[in-house]
Amino acid sequence: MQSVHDLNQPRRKARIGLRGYLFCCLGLVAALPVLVLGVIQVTKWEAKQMDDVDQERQFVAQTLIQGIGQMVDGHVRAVETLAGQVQARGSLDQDVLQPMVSSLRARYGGFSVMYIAGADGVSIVTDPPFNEDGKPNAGTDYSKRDYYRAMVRTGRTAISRVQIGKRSGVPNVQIAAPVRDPKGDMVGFVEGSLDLDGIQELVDSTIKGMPGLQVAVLDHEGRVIVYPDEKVRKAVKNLSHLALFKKLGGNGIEIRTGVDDKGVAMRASITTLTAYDLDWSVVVYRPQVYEQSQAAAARTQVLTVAGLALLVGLIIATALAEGLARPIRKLANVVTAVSKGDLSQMPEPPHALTPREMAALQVDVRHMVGQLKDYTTHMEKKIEERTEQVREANRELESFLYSITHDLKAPVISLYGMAAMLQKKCGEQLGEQGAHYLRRLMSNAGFMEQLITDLLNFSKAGKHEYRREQLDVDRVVKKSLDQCDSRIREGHVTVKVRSPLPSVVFDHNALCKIFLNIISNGMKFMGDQAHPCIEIGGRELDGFVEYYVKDNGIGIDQKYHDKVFKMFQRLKEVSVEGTGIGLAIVKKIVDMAGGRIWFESEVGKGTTFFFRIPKEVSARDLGDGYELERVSNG
Amino acid sequence: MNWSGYQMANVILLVEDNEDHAEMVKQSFGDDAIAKELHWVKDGQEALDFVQHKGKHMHAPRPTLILLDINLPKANGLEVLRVIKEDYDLKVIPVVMLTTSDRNDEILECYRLGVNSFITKPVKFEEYFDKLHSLEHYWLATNREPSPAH
Repeated sequence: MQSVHDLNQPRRKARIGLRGYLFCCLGLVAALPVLVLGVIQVTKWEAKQMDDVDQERQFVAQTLIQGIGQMVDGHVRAVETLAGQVQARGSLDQDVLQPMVSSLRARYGGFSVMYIAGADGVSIVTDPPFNEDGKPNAGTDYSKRDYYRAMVRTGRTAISRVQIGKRSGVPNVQIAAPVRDPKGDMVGFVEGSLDLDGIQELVDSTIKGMPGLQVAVLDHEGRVIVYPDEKVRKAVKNLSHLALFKKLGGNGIEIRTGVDDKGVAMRASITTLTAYDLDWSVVVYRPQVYEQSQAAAARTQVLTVAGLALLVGLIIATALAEGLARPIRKLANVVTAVSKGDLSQMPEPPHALTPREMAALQVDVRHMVGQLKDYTTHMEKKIEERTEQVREANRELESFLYSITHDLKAPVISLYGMAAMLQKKCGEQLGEQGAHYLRRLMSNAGFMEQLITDLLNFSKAGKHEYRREQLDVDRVVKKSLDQCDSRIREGHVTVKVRSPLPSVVFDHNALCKIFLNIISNGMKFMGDQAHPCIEIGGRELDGFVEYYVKDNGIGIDQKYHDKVFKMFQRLKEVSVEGTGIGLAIVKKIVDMAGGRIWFESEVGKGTTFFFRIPKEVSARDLGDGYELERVSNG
Repeated sequence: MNWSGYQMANVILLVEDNEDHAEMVKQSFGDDAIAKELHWVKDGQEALDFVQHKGKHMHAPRPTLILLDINLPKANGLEVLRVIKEDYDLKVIPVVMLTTSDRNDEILECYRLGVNSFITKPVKFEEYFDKLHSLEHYWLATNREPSPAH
């Protein structure tokens, strides 16, 4: 069990607060997943990123295969349509065919030249009918062309290898479709020269907005149809020697790395267009450096996002920790204040977001403080009542003492007066014996008078009307010493005053009476001291002043210590004058001022009386005197 | 009661219920050079009758000095003092309180009511004698008081 002493020890400051603990816990909770995810993401990121870009390229490649396929398909159908129309007419007459070929070429863009030829391979009509030199295009023999041979051989529509248009300088292919008679024999064919720059346009529009992405389309021999470098494209360069552009073995998609014609390392996705036995390769590629830098940028982005998430997490943890710790801290502050006796503090009432246990605690502490406050108020009221009762009883007692001493005074006056008059008028007739009795009578009456006077003084110590004033205590002590000057001289007492004595706000007469009584007491009990000495001094304490009067007299035996301040207590060992009320009066004055009086003594060495009084005595402490004055005013 | 038995210029009214004390006053007022006539009444009511010439004091002389105790039967000294000091005619008569009390509230009250002097009776007869002697000399020989108004 902890002792009261331990409880009163100041709390150690160097502890981590609740907020600190909560922050650590919440911060850890917030940071851990972010850190773990971040690390995992960063290590996986590169592969993932490469995978993503590979997929992107594959997608582009497939899209292009589809687009190019559709484009070629569309034009093949156009040529076949014309062949069908010619077949339906059943005539190879030039005048019939010319409008047909012209209107069809006009309808389908992309054909640079279109012609209809006979089975021998010589063109009958062409569109445009004339070349740039103004010579007619018709009548040209195409029987040596690869597509003618292929068409004759297979009996189906054929597509030539890629070549460069003589005049346009644009790569193109020729599409040839046979025209048959009703018996099924080939009577002629329709040919359309398809410019492949349309494919370049298609590619350009497809990869638009895909930074770094490049596309090459190569024919079955490895010659370029589409290529980023226009020079290479125009030259229809064969790039099959570069591993990057090597034809794919079969169907599907392959991912490979290699250098392009300029020696730049690339990563590519390759797929093949197989329609009409074209066997074209579509290569979609990007510089490896570019893709790696993209991956690195993405990693930086992940790290940044993770860092930001961590920061946000920590900020939220701080806010949460503060939010959770604040009500507890406030409650702790209130409890601390209450433990120090400050009941003016009250915990806040719980609000809607206060946790249940906390709310219960707040309510309980509020209840507790309220009860404590009620109890304290009740007790204070009770103490006030009791104090008032005690004060009243004291007042009655004082009043009783006062009137009794007064009533005693009248007969003593008579006694003494009558005795004195007897001595004066009939002294001579009394004889020696009678005169002695009369003297004893008067002496006793005198002692009784002294007793009554002291009692009245004691009683008045509680009724005296105190005046509070700033006192020069050196002067007060000098006045007290003056009052017993004759005794000081008779006893050859050396008096030392340790000036300056601290000043105090007190009643002049009361302080004078305190010093006078203590000094008188000291001189009374000087005994047969060869060098009797009395020393007076004082010091200031926190809110109090303390004075002492030290003598080197006979001292006070331990067994009388508790009787020193009691009324009528005279130490029987020594025969001294006095009624034994002086120190009781001193104690009463000091007590009433909220002070304290005590002494230290050793038999044969002397006694030191100390008394301590507030530096400024409030009017309340001297209340009785004021009350008396108020009553008499009314 | 008239101790001196002859009419003099100075009429002193002693209001005192304690016979011993009255005797001591009589003994203390001993200076034969000052002509005086000491009248003694034992309670407050009689004192008022004396100054207001009522009852058996119908023909009482007007006092030139009143010595007044506080604790008196019938009407206490403070009441007697109040009546005298509230009376236009009587208030000019010097009143000296002669009492065992030294309570500050009583002293204050007496002065508020207009007392001319306040003396606390000393226990020792020597002091008692000295005080009354100086009182006698001051009020009867030194002090100038107005002649009775008519």
